[in-house]
Amino acid sequence: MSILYVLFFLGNCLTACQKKIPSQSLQIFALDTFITLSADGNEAEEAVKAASSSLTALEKRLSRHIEGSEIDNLNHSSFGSPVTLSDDVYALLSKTLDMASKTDGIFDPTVGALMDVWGWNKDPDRIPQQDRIDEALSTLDYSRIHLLDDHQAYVDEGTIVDLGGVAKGYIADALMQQMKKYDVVRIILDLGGNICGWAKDRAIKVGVRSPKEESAMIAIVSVQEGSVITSGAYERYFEVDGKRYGHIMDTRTGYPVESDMLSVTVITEDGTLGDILSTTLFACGKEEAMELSEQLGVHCILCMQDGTLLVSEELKGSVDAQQGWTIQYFG
Amino acid sequence: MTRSDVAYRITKMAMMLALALVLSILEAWLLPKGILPIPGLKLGLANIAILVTLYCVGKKEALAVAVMRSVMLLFFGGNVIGFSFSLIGGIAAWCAMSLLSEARHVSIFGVSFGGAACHSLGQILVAVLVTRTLYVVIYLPYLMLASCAAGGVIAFLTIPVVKALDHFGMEMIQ
Amino acid sequence: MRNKDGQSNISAKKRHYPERRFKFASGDVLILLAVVIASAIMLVGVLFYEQSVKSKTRYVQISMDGQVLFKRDLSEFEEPMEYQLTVPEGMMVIYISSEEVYVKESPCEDKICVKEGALTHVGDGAVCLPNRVVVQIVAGEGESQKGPQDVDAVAR
Repeated sequence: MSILYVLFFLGNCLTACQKKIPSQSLQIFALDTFITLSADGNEAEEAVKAASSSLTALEKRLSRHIEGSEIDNLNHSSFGSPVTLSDDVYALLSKTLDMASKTDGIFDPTVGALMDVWGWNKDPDRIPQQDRIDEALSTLDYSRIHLLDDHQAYVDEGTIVDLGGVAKGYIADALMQQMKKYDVVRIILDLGGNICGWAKDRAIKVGVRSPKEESAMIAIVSVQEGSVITSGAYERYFEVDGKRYGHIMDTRTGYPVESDMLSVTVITEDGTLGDILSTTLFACGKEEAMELSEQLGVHCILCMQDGTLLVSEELKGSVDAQQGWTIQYFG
Repeated sequence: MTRSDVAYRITKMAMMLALALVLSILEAWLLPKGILPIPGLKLGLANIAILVTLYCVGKKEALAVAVMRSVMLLFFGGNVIGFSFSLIGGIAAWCAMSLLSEARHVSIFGVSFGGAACHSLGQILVAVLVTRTLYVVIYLPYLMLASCAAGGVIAFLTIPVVKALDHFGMEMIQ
Repeated sequence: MRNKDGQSNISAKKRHYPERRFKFASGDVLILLAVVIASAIMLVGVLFYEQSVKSKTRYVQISMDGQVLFKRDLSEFEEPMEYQLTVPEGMMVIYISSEEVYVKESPCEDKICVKEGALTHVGDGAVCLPNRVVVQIVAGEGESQKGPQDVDAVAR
């Protein structure tokens, strides 16, 4: 979809402005999802406006579906003709590769071809043929991205870099940094369900959607500053013969992940990391997820089939389970 | 059927299409958009032409006139949503009318009622698809009742037209 | 007046047009009755639905292209607000208070959504077809599930 904008101004309260802190909220359709930027404070309006223009600029550089974006250029590069990337994209890419090696390739930014084969950029409705999956798998390996000196990089032939699993987290962080520079007391960014919040005076309460029911929540998390990012197979999926295929791909088999968990929520100050890890932890399964999160020092909520929420010890006191869900701490 | 017969039928269809278009425009003048209390409600003057075609030319021709009318209105500065409403509504109405016109004990009034009701059904179906919300179905009962009343008026207006055409010797019966 | 008794001198094969009957007939009554009954059933259904959700919390829900853009408990709007929504044809203004919701301005041609007036009960709604926007009052979860109103955002 081209950049269709649906701007949705939460008009500043017209009558009651005298005593209240001004608040501003803006809804945009970008990154293939609905994004809400909101802020409270004297410069809320300026902060939101600035963030929305950076959002557009960042999308233009990071989306592989936009012709001429840095990632699009990278996907068209080769050994003979590497591309030069900007500072931040280069840094993001090296961080991404670092995480790919730390997670042993369970998280892998070269899933582009596989995502295309399954048709996740449109509305998929069928399982692709095995030979097409195999072909995509042969291009899927983070070692096929080569970072050179002087911010240059290239990919091996056929490999398609897709930052879909990082971009939202990264952009949220960047927007948050930018908005904090204004005179505001509270910022909440909702990037298609990835929540990034910050408040001066109080904790922000973020609900975590129930994987079973759209309007229900499994828990409420209090954060002073940071991102709450959830991954599961309930937001984007299709069904064939009663079997559900979610949009998180298993980079080893080339098929959607079949997790023993319903969803994984990561709570972290580093949104980029949180975005990567929510999908990764979901993909690697309960045991490994518990291990990996401790190893990386990331806090998470693992939502199990039986109504148990496995919560990192460190989150004690800041997670409130909702009706029908019980908390078990680990770590 | 000889070639002149074919030409004759086409001429009649073209006349009816022209009549349908004129009536559509006339209706837009008489009843500007939004003047009627129920969204989507129309008197449907153009349906006079469709009914005349159905009764005096043939069923297939009536469908052709209905479809062509929608297409031509789109070309004359209509919008795509309006087009899909009139097209789907028109086809639904034609289905009902062509079936009912063969039924026993059903007069032109019944045919027009059925057409109007199905036109409403088709319109609401399009509205559901356009808004992707079931909510709009709430208009269906009101729209159906009101459009049936309009259908009665249309049938009443159609009768003298058919009679007049007969009177002026348009050889409607081959 | 040429009536259907003219049939005698035309062979059945050649008849490709429907029989003409211009007098109100018994079948017409049946058709009209069917439409009235169907409409009545639908109206009663709607009425029952409205009755069953009367006690529930009222939420204002704004959707475009079937995608819910906004859903909030009406009681949150003790101070009325005006929402501006950029739609394909321009800007739409929706007034929301804890009492009522209405479309104040719309760029559409027919302004049916504006004429719809105040939406106050669950089941009320205003539709703007040209912009594919539906504003409606929907039933919430009620008291049993305290939550969605209390949080600042929901992670999905």
